[in-house]
Amino acid sequence: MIWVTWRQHRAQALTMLGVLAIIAVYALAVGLWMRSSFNSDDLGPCVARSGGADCAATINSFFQQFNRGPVMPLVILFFLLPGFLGAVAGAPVLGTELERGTWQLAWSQTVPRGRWLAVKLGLIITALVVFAALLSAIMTWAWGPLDEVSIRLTPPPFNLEGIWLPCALLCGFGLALLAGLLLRNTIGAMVAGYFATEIPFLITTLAVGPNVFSTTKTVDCTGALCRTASTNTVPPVSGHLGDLVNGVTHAGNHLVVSYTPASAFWPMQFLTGGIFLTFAAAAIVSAVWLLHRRTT
Amino acid sequence: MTQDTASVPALRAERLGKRYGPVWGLRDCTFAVPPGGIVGLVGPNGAGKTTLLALTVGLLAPTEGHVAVFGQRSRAQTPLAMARVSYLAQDHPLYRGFTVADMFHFGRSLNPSWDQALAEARMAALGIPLTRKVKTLSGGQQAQVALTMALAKRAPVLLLDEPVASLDPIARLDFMRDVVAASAESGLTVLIASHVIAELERLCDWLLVLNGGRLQLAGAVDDLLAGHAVLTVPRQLADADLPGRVIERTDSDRHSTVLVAAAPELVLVAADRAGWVAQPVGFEQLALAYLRRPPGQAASLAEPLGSVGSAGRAVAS
Amino acid sequence: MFRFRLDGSSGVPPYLQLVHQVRQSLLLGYLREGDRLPTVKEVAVDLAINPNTVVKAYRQLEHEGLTAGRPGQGTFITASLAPSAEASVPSAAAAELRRSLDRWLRDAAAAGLSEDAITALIAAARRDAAMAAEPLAAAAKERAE
Repeated sequence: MIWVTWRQHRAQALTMLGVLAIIAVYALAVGLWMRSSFNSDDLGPCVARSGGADCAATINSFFQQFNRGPVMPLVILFFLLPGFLGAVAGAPVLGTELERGTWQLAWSQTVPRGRWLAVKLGLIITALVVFAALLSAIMTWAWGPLDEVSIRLTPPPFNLEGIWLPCALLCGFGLALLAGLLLRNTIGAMVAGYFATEIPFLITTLAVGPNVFSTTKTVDCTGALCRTASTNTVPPVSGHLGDLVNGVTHAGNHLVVSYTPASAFWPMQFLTGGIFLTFAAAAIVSAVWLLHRRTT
Repeated sequence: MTQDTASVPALRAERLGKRYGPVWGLRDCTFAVPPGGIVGLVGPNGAGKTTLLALTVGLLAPTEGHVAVFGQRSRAQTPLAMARVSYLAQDHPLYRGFTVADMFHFGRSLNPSWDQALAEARMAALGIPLTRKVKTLSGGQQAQVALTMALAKRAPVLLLDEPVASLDPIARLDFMRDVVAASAESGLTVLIASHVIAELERLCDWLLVLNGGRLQLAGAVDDLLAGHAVLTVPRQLADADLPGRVIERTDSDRHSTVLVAAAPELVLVAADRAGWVAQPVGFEQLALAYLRRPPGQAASLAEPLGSVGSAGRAVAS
Repeated sequence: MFRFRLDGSSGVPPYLQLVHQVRQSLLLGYLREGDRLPTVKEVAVDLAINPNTVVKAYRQLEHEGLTAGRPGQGTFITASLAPSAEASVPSAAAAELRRSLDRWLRDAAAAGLSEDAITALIAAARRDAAMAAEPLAAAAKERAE
């Protein structure tokens, strides 16, 4: 059954390896370039020393140089990738078998279809998780310098780091798997799975977002700082590089700052990941149950 | 025909039925097929042949009743039940991107009883290299590869769903020749579903006639043919005056041709006395006559016929 | 090896066709006493027919005394139907049959039947006799036993 899974999904596996290799090479190049620029601008020591206050202008120019430029292809790719790759991996498992009629061959050998599906799911899900974890690790490394001087809480790089990628990929996989069973069609299941993944994606970006972990703080300010403070100030008025400032209200000598602290990164990752995984689990369990129901 | 009352039927169905939403694809199907023969499953498209086969191999679960292969119920979906049946679905599905060797590896991985030597020997005899991709093979060759998959599983029962429908006449003959050879060699019980009755005549020694989801006729071919006759009688003769049971009657101006189900000695005596012409019925003629009957009506007919010849083996009652 | 042929459209049951072919070959001298017929499996595979059909045909031939099976060796021809074996029919009976046939042919010609019509009539009569008598009578006999 292991060989069967490999042989049937060999093309997708090799494609993913290819994608991984290409992204890795590109990310490596960008990451190294970023690091050299970071070091030559002496940003590291400056940030460590002053929390960014001393080198605000340098930070801004560094940000402009890299965030709009070389990383853009990766950013765009990663908005499309998880749903797409998940759908490509998930749709054929049941969709192609039902579409081509090979289910009659696959489920009339000596292995009950429950075991057939369990082994396939186990192997493919493991491979997807490993693939996504590797990709996340590479992207986290590549984003290192940017992460030091800017926010991690919004995509990008929120959807490139942490556990976001494996969870989103599994979600795309599960939804495409279920779509394949229901639609009995590969392309249709890929499309349906891809767009269905947008639902949890929108939920996490719009509803869950940084707002869930938002908090308020009152900051004393003097003179020019009071007048020019805004949500875009670098470093942020909430005090730490990496905080996401949602709103600033002026009140005499104080600023009331509504913000999401940088430390909310991992709680947000778990919440977002949890939402994706809930969708994934619901889809996969539904698919397994429906398949079981057709036999007994 | 030898009869071993202690032997387990190769296939046994008891009030088997399958519903798809509001429609019954198969209803109230009861029969018992002895091992070792070639069974013809005849009926028009949509009659329920594929449903019956799928239920037997365990790809579908029955809505009511059950079907068992050598005593093992197909509902169980256990490796034990699945190992008893080989199935060749309509249009012989294969993984088109696989090579022939890949297909056999697939078979080996999923079947403990897989006979790789048999599979390779068949390919060698047919001149099909193991390294060819399935999609580059002709229709006839693909059908042969699919048949090899089914045969190499070494199950005691082989189910074929319209196996030659898409093949040219030469490929057809080669295919059926191989099925016959396998049947003769290993005592395989073969069930062939087809809507072309004429092709089945030379192959089957057992017959199942299905129409509208109902079993119209079941029995050993020899017994069925011996238990029916075609009588040419005067037009005014009523059905009640004829021996046995009237299956189909064709009336002309002055005479009628009647297919009756009756014991041969009854027919001979009656025909002799009354001066009718009595002829045996042909295989295709018999199957068509039962196909033309309204579905469900012939169910009760199958039981008495079971007592003709191989007593009670035709239908489980 | 003796090869059979099947005519799917002839309307004659397959096993009878096999029996007729053996009988005809014996009559024509193409099969002789001691010849071995192909095995059941060989015939079934050659013609793509059910092995039981061949079994039935061979059993019928054995019943008619034309063949005998030797365990482990096969089925062998044990009789001859070639014209030279007509000696088994009493010459008086054969002569009377020949006279009555000549009479019938004269009557048919006098009635205006053409050569073709005579041939057709004889063929129809033989076919009807063969088909009507054999399976029903054989089955009735089996039942009576």
